[in-house]
This record gives sequence, structure tokens and C-alpha cells, in this order.
Amino acid sequence: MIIYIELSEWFKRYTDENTRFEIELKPGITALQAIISIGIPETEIGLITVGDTKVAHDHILAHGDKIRVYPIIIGG
Amino acid sequence: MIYEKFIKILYVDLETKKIKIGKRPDLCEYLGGVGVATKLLEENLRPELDPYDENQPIVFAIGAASTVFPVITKTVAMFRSPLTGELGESYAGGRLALTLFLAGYDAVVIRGKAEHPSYLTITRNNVEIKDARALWGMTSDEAGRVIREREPGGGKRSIIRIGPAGENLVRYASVCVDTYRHFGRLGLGGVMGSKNLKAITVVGDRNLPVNNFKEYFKIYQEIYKKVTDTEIMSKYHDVGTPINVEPLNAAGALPTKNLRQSVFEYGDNISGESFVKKNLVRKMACTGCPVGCIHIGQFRREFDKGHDYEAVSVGYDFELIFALGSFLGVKTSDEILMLIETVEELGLDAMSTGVVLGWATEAFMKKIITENETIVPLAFGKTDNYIKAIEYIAERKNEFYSALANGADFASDKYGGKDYAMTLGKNEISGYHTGYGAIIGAAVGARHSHLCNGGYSFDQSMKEFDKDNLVNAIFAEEKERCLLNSLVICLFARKVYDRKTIQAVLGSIGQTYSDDELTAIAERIYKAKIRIKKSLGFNQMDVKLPKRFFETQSASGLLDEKTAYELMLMYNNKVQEMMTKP
Repeated sequence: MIIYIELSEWFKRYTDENTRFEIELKPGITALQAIISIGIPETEIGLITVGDTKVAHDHILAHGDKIRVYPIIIGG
Repeated sequence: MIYEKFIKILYVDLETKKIKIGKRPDLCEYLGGVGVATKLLEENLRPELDPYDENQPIVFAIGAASTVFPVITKTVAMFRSPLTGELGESYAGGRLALTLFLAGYDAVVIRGKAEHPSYLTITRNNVEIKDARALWGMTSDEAGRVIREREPGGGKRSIIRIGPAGENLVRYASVCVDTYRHFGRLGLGGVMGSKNLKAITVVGDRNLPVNNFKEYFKIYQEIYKKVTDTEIMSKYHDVGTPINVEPLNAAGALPTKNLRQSVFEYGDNISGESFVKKNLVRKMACTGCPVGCIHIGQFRREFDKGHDYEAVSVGYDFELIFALGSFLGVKTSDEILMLIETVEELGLDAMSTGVVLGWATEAFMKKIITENETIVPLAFGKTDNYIKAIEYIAERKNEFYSALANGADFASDKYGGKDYAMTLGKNEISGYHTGYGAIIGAAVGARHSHLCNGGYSFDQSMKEFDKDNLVNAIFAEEKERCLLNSLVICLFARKVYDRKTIQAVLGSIGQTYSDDELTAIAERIYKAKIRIKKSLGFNQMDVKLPKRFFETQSASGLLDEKTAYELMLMYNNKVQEMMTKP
């Protein structure tokens, strides 16, 4: 299945400056696994949305899903 | 004090001009920093007197390993908060911790009121109270500039000062530390103002050889590498905390327009990346920190007609962008920097100022106040009028602005609109509408700050909401931070300084503590804070949670008021249980 991933600018350091990906994955894969597969460290992954909906990291993706990934919130 | 078996305290009485130095071996059981400061506050506090009474103390303290290891850079200040009436606790970086350390003091206790505006100079061998009548009325920046020229010790000197807001006893007036850092929260600036104390300079110039250099350097290098060569701290240096704007806005957790919304339609304009692209000109670090998280942005300001402009540089971070940006509906990074510059010059806490103005704007919209009170019409996104309103707060221009100068809780008591006066324990909120963790964390936190226990971070890290787990996590973190703040570590580096690392750090400077002993110290400090709060009449279950929290969607959905109060009760029970234990 085809999944589209759009990354927040912060993640460019892990992806040779790319922020948009179209990747082919096996069915049954989670949002987290998909994002890790393009080289983003798990510890850096915060909020994930599919379309406009916030999803859990273990959300099972479907063909054509458009994921957006945000960095983890930091602070004291 | 490092390599010593006592805590060295400088006592200054501004009224009698008496200076005393005390050495207290007994305070070592509080380690340093917030532990020592809490104990000294408890000893010197006069609970029956107003926060602005001249007999109330101000305590500054550094920690056992201050500035000797990376990112241990902060000084803690403790006092009775004029904003909340209870525990005042605030932290600042800059050069203050290093200079206190090299001047040879673990803590400074200031009491009394000077007979006229004064500033205090502290060096290794000398303490003086000097005339500051010529400085009274000056902005923080102006006062800093004059003192820099007048006082020796450049490079080994810290200058902390208040602006007009502190002089006018605004209850959330801040103290500027070395231009870009602050004791921001809970009104230390007002307490200094109430003592006629415009500024303090500290010069630290002693040389202190390190014992067992090999062991010390080994531990230092390990921490330094962790801080600089791993991803743990990289975001703080790179985009800095403003990186939070984008994910919080996407999650529906960015308090916007007095939390009438949790998503800001102009969020992209004020994101960390936007500041980087448009405004960032420099990064700086506190002394002893290899991270460099202080982001300086620049904007252009017209200072005269005829195309006369100047470039103005000002520090920015997430909380300021939230409070003076999204919370006020301000749409551009330039305008936010202008507002930050205004609060800086006048010496106000940016967070409280923004949140107070958010309430005032909504109250104006709802017509419970009119232009008779506000002088200028307040509207979300109208920066020019906010700048004027901030100036009016600092000078307590009229009865209304004088009420605003006492905080949103006070103003809403007087004029109404309590349900949308966004305070917790009378302290204005921080920028995370993430869920129950953020609300309860600040409501139960000893000083009602998001930094007491990082409650907001549990909304992010907990996979599923569970009442017991959340309350237990907040309680454990509140206690652990008593330990971290006794050192006094910058909390950005809290993941670097785990227990093992803390033990190694203390061990390398001759202080050996077991894990259990450190836990006992943390609990001892927390208990002392609770005792102080109780002596000041604080009752956790009196804290009211503004209804607005439960009307606006959070990142965890719409929150239930009853559940929030239940969580607060659960936490309170844990505190009571702790206090009954010996």
C-alpha cells in the first residue's frame, strides 16, 4: 500500500532535507513503524495525524493515508 | 559550599545596614539550592505579615555543584509571593550562580527596607548598600547600563535589576538577570521594589582549585558529551523551545485568545521556524552551559519620523510566544518581539502579563469593563493597544490597571469574569492545554508553575489516561525536582541528570550520597515547602479551576471538571499522607 508522509521541518536533519515522502509498505503497518522506516528516531516522534485526525502511534495505516509528523514537545 | 561541610550565608539587612556571614553545617541536609533556600525562607518568613512588608525576606541560593558541571547554571530565589500570597520560588540563569559561587556564598538572605532607593554590591571581601536614587524610574536596560559603567568587575560580574513595574509594586514584576535571563514568575521584582532595592551586583573572582581533578574531569566529560553529542539537548540549541508552537497548535493544545480556542489560525506565522527564518540573529548561553538555548530575535522599530529606524534585539522562547502571541491573538513574530521588548523594559513577567491581558480583552468584549477603564480599546491581535496597556499596568495608571497589576485573579474578583481568568492557585497559566496533567500539575505544584512537576509532559507521554498513574507521576516528579533544584540544575537538562549521574557528580566533589539518602533529601525539601504553604494559609482544596479549561477542547479532548477536582483531591491526599510520615 502507498502511504504519504509529511514531516515537520525539524526532522530534515534525519532525511537529507526531505520533508515529503511517498512510500510503499506492507498492509498492517503502524504509523510509528512507517515513520521509523524513513529514518526518524522513535524518541523524536511526537504527535502524528492522519488527515486532520490525531492518531495513536500504534494506529494501523490504510492505503493512501496521509500522515503528518510533529516533534516531541520539549521544555522544563 | 563545595569541599566544605557547611552552607555559607550572607545576611544583609537593608534597614540597619548590618551585614553578617553565617556558616551552617546543619543546612547540609538540605543539600543546597532550593533545599537551603526553603529552609532559610521558613526560618525568616513572617507569615502574619504582607508579602510587601519590609520584614519579609528574599533568599537567593546556589547548589552544591553550581556551575562546576555543565548546565548546572541556575540560582533560586525564594520569598513570599505578592501575586499568590504564598510560596514564591523563581529561577534564573545568566552569570549569577557563577558569581555567587566565586564570591564564596551559597546563599544570600536580604531583609529590611532601605531608607531610599539603593543597590547592593556583593564581592568576596565587601558588601555595600549604595545610593540608587538616580536609577529609580529607569528601565531594566537603562539601570543595567549605568551600573555596568559605574561598578568594576566586568566579565566576573552579574547585575540583577528591576524596572518601573517592580518599583510600582506590580505583583508579577520580574527581575532582569544579565539582560537576557529573569526571575520571571511570582513577583520577586515587586518584593525588591518594596525594599527600595533597585539592583544587586555580584562579583566573583576567587580561584578554587579542583580536588581530585582526574575523577572530576572524567565525570565532567561524560556529561558534556551527553549534552553536546546526543540529541537530548539539540532542540534547545537549534530552534529552541519555540519548536513547541507547531506541534501544540497541531494537537489543539495552544491556548489562543484567552483559551477561547486551542488552535491559532496564524500559528504558522509565529512558529519556531518562522522566528528562525525572520528574526533569529544570535544564540547565547548561561555561564557554565554548553547548550546555548537563549535565542535572540531582532525586529525593526521606527524611533522617529523620516524613516529613522533602529534594530532591537530581544530574547524569545515558547512561553513568551504563547503568552504575548497566541493568547492575545497576535499574528506576527515581529509584533510578539515588540511586546516582549515592552515587558522587558518595564520589568514584568511576560507570562502573567499576557494572560492578564487575555482576561482583560475578553472582559472588554463582554462589556463588563469599558473604555472608561481600559483607556484604549482592547482587542485580540491589536498590538499597539496592548503595548499601551502594558505601560499602564506598569505604572498602575488608573484603578483598573492597578487591579490588573495585582493579577488576573484579583482583577476578576473585582470586575467579574472569574470563569475565564486563567490562573491556577492565583498564578497565570502556562502555554499547554494538553490535558489533565497540565492543569493538575500547576494546580498542585508548590508554586503553581508548569515547572513544578512538568504535568503537561505526562499528557504527552502517557499512552492512556489513568487517574492513579497520572497523580503518582506528578507527585514523584514534584519530589524529584526538589532534588534537581537543590543542585540547581537547569530543568532542560533533567534527562541528563538522572540519579546515577547526580551521585557521580556529588561523589566527584567529595559528597557521597546513596540513592535512598537523595530520596530523603528530596522529601525533606518538599515537606518544608508544604509547611511554608500551610503557614501562609494555603489549602489545596480551595484552588478553583477556571471553567474555561473545560469549555475549550484540549489535546486530550474536552476535559471534565469533576474529574479534574477528583485528581486534585487524590493528589492532596498523597501530600497529607506524606506529611504524617516522620
